[in-house]
Amino acid sequence: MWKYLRFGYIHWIWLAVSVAGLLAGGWWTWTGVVFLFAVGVGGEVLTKDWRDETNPTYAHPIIHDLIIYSVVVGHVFAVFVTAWICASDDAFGFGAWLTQVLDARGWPYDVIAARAANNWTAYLGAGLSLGGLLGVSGISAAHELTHRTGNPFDLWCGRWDFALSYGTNFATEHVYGHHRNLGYPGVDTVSPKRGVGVYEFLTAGAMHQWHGGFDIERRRLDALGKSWWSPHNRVLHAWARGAVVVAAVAWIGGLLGVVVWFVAAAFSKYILEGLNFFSHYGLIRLPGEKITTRNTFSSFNPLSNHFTFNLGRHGSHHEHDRPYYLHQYQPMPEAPYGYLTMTLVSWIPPLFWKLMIPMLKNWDERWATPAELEVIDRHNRESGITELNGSTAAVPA
Amino acid sequence: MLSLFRKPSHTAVLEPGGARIVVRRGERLLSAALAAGLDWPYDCRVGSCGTCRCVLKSGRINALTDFVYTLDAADVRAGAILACQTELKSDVVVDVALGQARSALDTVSGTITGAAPLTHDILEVVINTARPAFAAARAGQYAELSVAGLPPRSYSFARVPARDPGGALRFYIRHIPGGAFTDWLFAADRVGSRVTLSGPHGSFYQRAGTGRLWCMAGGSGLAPIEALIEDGVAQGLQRHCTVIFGARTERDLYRLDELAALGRRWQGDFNLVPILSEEAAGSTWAGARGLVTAALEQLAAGAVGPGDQGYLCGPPPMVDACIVALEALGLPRDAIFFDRFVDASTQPGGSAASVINAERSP
Repeated sequence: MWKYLRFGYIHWIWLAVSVAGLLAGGWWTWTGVVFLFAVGVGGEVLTKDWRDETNPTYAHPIIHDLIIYSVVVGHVFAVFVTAWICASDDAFGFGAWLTQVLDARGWPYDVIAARAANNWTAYLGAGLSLGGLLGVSGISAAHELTHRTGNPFDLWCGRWDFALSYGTNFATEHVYGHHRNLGYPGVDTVSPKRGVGVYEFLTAGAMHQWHGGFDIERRRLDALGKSWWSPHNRVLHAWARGAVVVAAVAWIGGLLGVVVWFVAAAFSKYILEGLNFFSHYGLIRLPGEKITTRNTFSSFNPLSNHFTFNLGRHGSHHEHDRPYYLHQYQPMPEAPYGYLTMTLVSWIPPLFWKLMIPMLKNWDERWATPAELEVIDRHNRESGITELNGSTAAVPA
Repeated sequence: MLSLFRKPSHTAVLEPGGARIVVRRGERLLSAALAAGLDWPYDCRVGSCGTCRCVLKSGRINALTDFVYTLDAADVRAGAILACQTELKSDVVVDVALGQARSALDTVSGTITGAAPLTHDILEVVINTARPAFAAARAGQYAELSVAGLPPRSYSFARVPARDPGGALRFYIRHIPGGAFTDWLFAADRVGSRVTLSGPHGSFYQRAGTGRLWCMAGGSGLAPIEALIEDGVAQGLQRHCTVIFGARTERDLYRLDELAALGRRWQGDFNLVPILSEEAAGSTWAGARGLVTAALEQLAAGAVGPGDQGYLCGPPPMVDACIVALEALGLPRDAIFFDRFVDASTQPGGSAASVINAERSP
């Protein structure tokens, strides 16, 4: 059973402590984001050398699906609770009901009084806690489900999960842009060329993704002879779902709720782009080359993969269109730390370069083809990263 | 519940050719074809690149993605589907351009842009073509080169043309004294000379499989083997590989560092064994001595497994001896692929149709 539950337990614990922290109020609202850094990043660093190289088979894949659906429901609940603690009304009588339930269990705690005592530090903690949860647990679940284009229910769940943090163009651009163009410099929105810094990536790269999503949907609608404003426009659907979420948050939590939710949505984007930044950094694919596990930096740290629905087995995800639990282990380029740590490191340039330069050198030495090295040699020179000089020397053209 | 009454698998008939594959319930058409060892083109497997496009002629499918994101709408209306995003709801017939069909023949003019000695009698010749060419060529195939006034000669690509970032074509060409083409090539610096190329030709290329690759190269026969290895690295091939490179003396060896570097990138086990047949006794050469077959028999005895394949390139006596040796080691005949480098300059008529890879011998 553990081989199934390992993909759920972290999310359930994280959701439970985050929601409990939000309701407890005061400094407790920081519980969720502290969990991300202490258990997630701290745990990955402590278990740096733990590896899971197993490729189990599953007789009951439905359990995996139920786990991921349960986590999506948890995300919706976490957004509701965040909005609720910002409110002065008691939407759905939730506070009265919960206080009564706690009382009946012999644990008197007035959640309405607790939220009334919150100050701006508590609201900031709530925003960051929700943002961390939506950025890691939310986006990895939504990413998984929006890849299941053949299953309308999963797709629907994934799209709403993205909407919780106002994810819009990403779902379209990611599946039909990034997966297609992986490793084509200047074409793939998420394979930064060597030398690009994280803040440049965040601005130019995010705009690139933004346009990519619109362009792909526009091409599809043009091909079908439909107008941009047609009810079939899926990018507009995504924007509309995001608007529904904002409206619901505003209705439950008022303006303050929207502000706190905005902090969460912004923080979750920050996490997503950090992950995007490092996981294909500086890697290339030449036209005509099949997408393989070589085009990504992966992680086989078990904790990392429990936090992200196996997204650390990222190379396998690019090579095969399979559900998360079937992402396979095989030798492939790896990041030295788990995905949460690498994401955090992405935002700290001195640390990032310290880890990334050896990763790139290793890729050039171990994974690049001679033909790719000719292109990499040029990219290295253009990048101005002198430490990469000579990384392509192993194979003269 | 209804799934209990559904057929567990359906058959896909692939036209032209009529190959049949069984696609299990929940399996994708592309996965089933690849598992059956067919060379169905693909790049991404997630329904975004369009490379696995085929046309549904009859039958019903379950489309796992909206094909219009990737394919032309008119094309989709005409029945185009993406095999990687297709499950079968009934038996189907599809039209698909499998590997063979990709290698459409092309003729193009080019200019020699590089000619660097690899050994005392082998040049690496680099040719840039007027336009991109031979994109469909596979690792192991060859092109026919002709220079005004001389009979055409055939040379294997030392790198899959589509893999070269500058679009250059690379060949390893050995000087055959008395051979019209190589006498011309080696007589002076030919950089800047015009060449006409046609191809890709040949049925020597890597086949799908899971077992070890037993690669044997003699002399300039290293070119297609190197192309095959580089291609395997680029495609993330997860198979074991043994390369035996036979030459006469140490000064006939070349590209060993490059092969070793490719070996470090190879995903399975990789071993490279250079072996010399005429190295003077008492020389400083510390490696293997003897014929390629001697190294093969030593390495492969008891190590040949099911699914292994042999790839042999070089002079006919070496290739023939290796075929016999591999068969004796238990490799079935249909798992052995080879390209005999026949010296066309010694053949009647020079480039007789039966002479495939002409004017080369180690």
